[in-house]
Amino acid sequence: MSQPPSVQRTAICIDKVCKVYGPPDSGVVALHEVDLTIYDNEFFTLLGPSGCGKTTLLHLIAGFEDVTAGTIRLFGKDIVSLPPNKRPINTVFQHYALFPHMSVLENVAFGLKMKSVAADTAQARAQEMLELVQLQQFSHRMPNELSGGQQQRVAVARALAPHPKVLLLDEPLSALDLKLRQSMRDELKRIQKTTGITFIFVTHDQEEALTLSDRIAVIESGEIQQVAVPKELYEAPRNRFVAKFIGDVNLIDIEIDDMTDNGLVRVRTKSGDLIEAVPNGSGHKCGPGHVAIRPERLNVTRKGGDGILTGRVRELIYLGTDTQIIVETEGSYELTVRVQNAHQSHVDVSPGDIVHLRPDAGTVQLLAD
Amino acid sequence: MMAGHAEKLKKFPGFLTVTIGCLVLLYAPMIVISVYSFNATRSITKWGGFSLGWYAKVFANPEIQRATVNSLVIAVSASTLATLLALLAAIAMVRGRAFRGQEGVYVLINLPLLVPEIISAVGSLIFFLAIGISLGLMTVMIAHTIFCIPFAYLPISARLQGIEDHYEQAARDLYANAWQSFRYVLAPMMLPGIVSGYMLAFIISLDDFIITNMVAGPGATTLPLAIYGMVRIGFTPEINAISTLMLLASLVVVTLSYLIGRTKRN
Ligand SMILES: Nc1ncnc2c1ncn2[C@@H]1O[C@H](COP(=O)(O)OP(=O)(O)OP(=O)(O)O)[C@@H](O)[C@H]1O
Ligand SMILES: [Mg+2]
Repeated sequence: MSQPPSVQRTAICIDKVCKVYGPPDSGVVALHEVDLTIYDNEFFTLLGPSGCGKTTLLHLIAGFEDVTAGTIRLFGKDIVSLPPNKRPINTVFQHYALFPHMSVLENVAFGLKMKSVAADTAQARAQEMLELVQLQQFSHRMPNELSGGQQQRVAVARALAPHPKVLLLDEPLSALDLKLRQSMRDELKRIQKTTGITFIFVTHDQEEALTLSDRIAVIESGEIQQVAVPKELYEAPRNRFVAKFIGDVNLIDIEIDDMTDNGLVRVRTKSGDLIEAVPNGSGHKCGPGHVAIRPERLNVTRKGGDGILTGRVRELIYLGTDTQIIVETEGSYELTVRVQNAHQSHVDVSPGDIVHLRPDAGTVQLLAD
Repeated sequence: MMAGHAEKLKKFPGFLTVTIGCLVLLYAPMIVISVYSFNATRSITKWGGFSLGWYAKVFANPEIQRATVNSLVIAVSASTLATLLALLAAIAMVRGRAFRGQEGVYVLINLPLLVPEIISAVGSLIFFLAIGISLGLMTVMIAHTIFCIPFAYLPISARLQGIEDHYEQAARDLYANAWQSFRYVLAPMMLPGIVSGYMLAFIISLDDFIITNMVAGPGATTLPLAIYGMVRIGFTPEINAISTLMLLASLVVVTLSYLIGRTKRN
């Protein structure tokens, strides 16, 4: 789960790729200048809300759509002018797209047949793939005789059979129910580990992205917002969109006061509290900005003082393992605090109380916007 | 909602009378023809016992034999060609990129359905005369092909519209070239639509009278023309027998077309 070492080979390099549907000057801009590097053997996730351009990016990589500008390189080779059947990349479609008139085995062997692999070799390899997804006993069924989860696994086996260099998966789990989704998640991770094939996985589910991925690219309105390992994405979001999209967060309007000696930035909230924030990159100037703090990073204390936020408890919400405390501040913004119920003493407040909140050291993030 | 409407309609005064009237008008002549084709006597109003004699006569009649062969040759070739053209048109219209004047082309393809048949017939005749093709089997085939295209086009394009393009993308993704993707994925998935369109075109060609009458040269007499010729000379139960046979053929083909078109919609 750590940052891939720099010696790792680049599988896909997306360089200033633009995509406009329709006429170039008046069409729908689906992707603005996207730059992205995806390493070999990586489980890479494209995460973003509906309509942000995830499918478009996958289609450009697979070759179903032409780029409007920019290049896509696969292991150094420019592939933008190649048709999909000339790209050693396979896709698992959102609705599987299994060929309804072919048996499971024929579906899985299709790619090999098209690559002119000898029939018996193709059969053996298809059978092997079905074993990988634990469907060997279903090889003679027709796709409509399978459950959703089984169809999903056939789709994965079919895409893996021709040994692609990169596997694209477009929201492959979104059509499954919750339980199945969780078990398929583990299965996908296992398959990726066993085969060592680079996976580019599309989802709009942040939890899915965080649990599966080596690295995640967050996309919004056709632009990459941040590329990072899951931990960094959660703990050090670059901007407001990323902070809000991944998990719960307190976004606070602040004025940047000045730098401290230890590389932190001193910021002042609307209610006048001074806290220290971790700057995101460099180039922060004095003036208005935003910081992000995760609710579980705020601790209730009895004393006020430097580096501490102050407010009045408005509401306590019991959530089972946690309790959520909503705190109103003088700066007329709200803070959400989440404390684990195992730490009984911390929840020892009631609505109307004045509380002081101390952020954990290094968890207040100064955002780029 | 729908059921409610139907209920109300049934209570409408005279609903039953009108319905029965329509059914009788539509089907009584066919039933009479079919029944009297088995009549043992020459009468077409008095029942004289059961016999297959008129059928035997039909099968022995050399003129009808020739007309049957002509009809089949024309129907098979015209519907095959029409289906092929309709298939290409459907792929271009449904799968191709949107182009300017697409609606216009759609109307053009389906024009034979809208234009009165007599106009098509006269038009075809003038066209053949103008470019100097002498009338014969060939001209009937050409005219039928054009006329049958929309009948083949409609079920084929309906079927194609129901197939999401993910399947072809998946085929291309799995290393199939454009032809292989059509051959192994799209064509088998479209097959019910293609068969349905083919059969519809076949029946339309087999039954056509107006256009055929206009552009058939000597020696290109088809069954409907032969029947018409016989009726003009004098009505015999032999005509009942041929008509019944044609009715049967049409029914079989249309039913098959319907059943095949309906299978595997999903
Ligand atoms: N064929 C097309 N023609 C025109 N616009 C399109 C086309 N396909 C996608 N778009 C537009 O491009 C944008 C990105 O679409 P895309 O399908 O890539 O989104 P997505 O991130 O995959 O969304 P979702 O999560 O809903 O699948 C959208 O605004 C969409 O309306
Ligand atoms: Mg999508």
